[in-house]
Amino acid sequence: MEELYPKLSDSLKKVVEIIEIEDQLKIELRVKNKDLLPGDLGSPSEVKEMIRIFGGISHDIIMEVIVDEKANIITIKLQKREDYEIVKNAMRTIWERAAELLEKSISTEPGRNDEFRALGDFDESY
Amino acid sequence: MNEPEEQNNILISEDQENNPFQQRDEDYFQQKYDDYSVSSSYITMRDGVKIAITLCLPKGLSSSERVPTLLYQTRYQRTHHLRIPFRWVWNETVSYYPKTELFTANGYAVVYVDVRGCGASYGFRYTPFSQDEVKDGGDVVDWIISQPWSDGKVVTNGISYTGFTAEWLATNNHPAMKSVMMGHSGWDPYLDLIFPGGCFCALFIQVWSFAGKQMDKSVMKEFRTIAPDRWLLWKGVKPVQSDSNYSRLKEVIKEHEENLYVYDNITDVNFRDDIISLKDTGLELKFDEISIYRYQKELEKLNIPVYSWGSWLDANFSNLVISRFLSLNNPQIAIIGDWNHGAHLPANPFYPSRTDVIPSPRDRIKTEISFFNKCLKKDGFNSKTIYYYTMGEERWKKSHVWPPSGHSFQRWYLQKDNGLNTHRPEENDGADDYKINFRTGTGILNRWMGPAGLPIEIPSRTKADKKLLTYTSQPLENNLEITGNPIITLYFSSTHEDGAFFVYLEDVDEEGEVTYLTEGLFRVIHRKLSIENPPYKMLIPYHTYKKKDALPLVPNEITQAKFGLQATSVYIRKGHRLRVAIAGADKDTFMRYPAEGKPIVSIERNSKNPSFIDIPIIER
Repeated sequence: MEELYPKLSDSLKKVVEIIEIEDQLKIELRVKNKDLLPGDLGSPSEVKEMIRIFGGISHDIIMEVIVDEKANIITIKLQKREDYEIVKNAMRTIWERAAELLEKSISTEPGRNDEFRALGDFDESY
Repeated sequence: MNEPEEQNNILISEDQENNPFQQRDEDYFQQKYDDYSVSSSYITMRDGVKIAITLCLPKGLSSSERVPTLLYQTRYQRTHHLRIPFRWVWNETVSYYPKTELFTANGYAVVYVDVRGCGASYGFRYTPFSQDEVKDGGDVVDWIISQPWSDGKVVTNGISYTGFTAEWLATNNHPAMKSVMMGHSGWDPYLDLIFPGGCFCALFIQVWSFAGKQMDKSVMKEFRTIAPDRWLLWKGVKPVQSDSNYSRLKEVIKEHEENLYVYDNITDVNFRDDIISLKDTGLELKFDEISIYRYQKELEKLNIPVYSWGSWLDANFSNLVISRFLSLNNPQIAIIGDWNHGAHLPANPFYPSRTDVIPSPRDRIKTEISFFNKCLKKDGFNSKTIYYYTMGEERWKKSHVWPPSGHSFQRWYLQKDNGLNTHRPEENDGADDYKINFRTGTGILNRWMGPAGLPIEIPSRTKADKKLLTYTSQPLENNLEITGNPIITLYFSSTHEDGAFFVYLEDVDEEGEVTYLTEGLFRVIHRKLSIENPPYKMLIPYHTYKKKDALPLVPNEITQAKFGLQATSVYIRKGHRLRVAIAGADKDTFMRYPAEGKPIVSIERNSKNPSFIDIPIIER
């Protein structure tokens, strides 16, 4: 499956439209995949995790995430303009960064994972 | 060594007939369907245990169409619940890419199964390859052929553990089974992976058991260290479709808490016939119960075609491909190439910096489909052929017998002054003392960790050899092909009652650079040569590894150990030299023998006790 990694960023750009609504400090992710099943879009905590880990944000940012499974839209609402700017910038490169991390991860020697450790943890609970 | 690109291209075209991945008849691979649907559910086994399956069907299949099924049973999570954003663009079968799309495009249904006690399946797992697990395979086949889309024919394949499950499935002798394909899988777990040469492969078994435990809990956190791409991609096992609130998955994970893992039960075991007490259960197990070689008759009963493949550099699996080729009477394709476990990466000691594996996974899978298609046709598949790749020469070859024609052994004696030649020593005395250096090793990316799916690193042996006892020949006067199992005979004494030899066969080039060719390891208490018939055909000396045959060393008394090295096929250039390098440990990978002490071994090399290596060569 490694051969898919270089195409990941383009695939995500095709499927996910990112809309920045600056005056409302909101960012919308419109996911254009009709085959998604209930739950596939993700929970609010998964969305926050995605932004933190793949967006490269190392500190806590207060945000409200609303997942609309009917419309396949995720809305991220920020409270502060500076937080909005950080998340907006992170979202502009998030897919490239996710693809880069995956590519790096397959060439990393086992045990030499400092970079991945620094990303923080995923919530592993169900 | 510079890669002779131009020469290689010529060789590839000349050798097309011998290359198993060029044998594909394109008629056998036709893109019939563009996409596939994915669904998942539980099916109930004969004893009520529910097993999770994922079904992939070609899209556009009409209600009157019937298709054959590829069955794949795993203990490593049948499909994965991807993290976001990955599941927005990839489906749960992406880990198998491009297998699912190629099989479904060619008109196969594909069924992925979590074996009992694993993934999203219910049940208790006390050992790999339990008879419960084997019988479940038969129940799954019953379910498949009762489905409206099934044409009643099932083939199975797998790599590593799933290769084992494929072969075990065939022992059910289910009439719907039409072919079995196993890659990098063995049939003698004691020798394949757990105790190669009688030495406990502690690191792999520990890592494997640990990884299994994490997967059965559906927790991926620990994979950040050993396989970070898995950690980034997978949240865990994919629950079945109806389990949208994870309630069943939570029940399953609770059941898996009772599971047992090999490493936890085996640290006190040494012999093939030791009884393994399974912790806290009162259950007992012997290696024989989980060894598929005992089921050769069952495998032969339906005479279904077998496709068995592996690599020269991956654990013990080349020996196993050869043993299966020799032992089973079924129609058979056997393939041994130069790649890592599962053929994702190249593994060729002459070209350690190569990055692209040949064939590509796509080409390999197309060849597999072509084989299955032949097996499903009325006239079937009836021949028996082994394809093998000679490293250094970079050529595929094929044979209908093993060893291939032209094979003979050339005896090379260990000599004074660390020499190696074909003349029996004439001196009455002569031995070399070697104080075992327990800091020697082959690293953690060696052939024995290969089954963890890691790259196989084959660094130059030049530096490593400085810590070993070595014997080196004069430059060869002619090119030399070595194909088969070298067999070493060592006359030796030791200051201790226990010990092990790790013997490396190497190529030394004109500049003194040392290239690994193959290795053999052997715990010397197992050295009694058995006069019993081995349980399956093997081309190396037979040791039973049973307790009754154990022979502790008598300190300082000369004795003999004769054992096989791993099979290989390599081409040594004229002007290069052969080297035998002897160690007493592989520190990262294997248990230390003896557990304590600093043994000194004395290797005899004289007319009375000549130590030598028999090298399998192919006359040209």
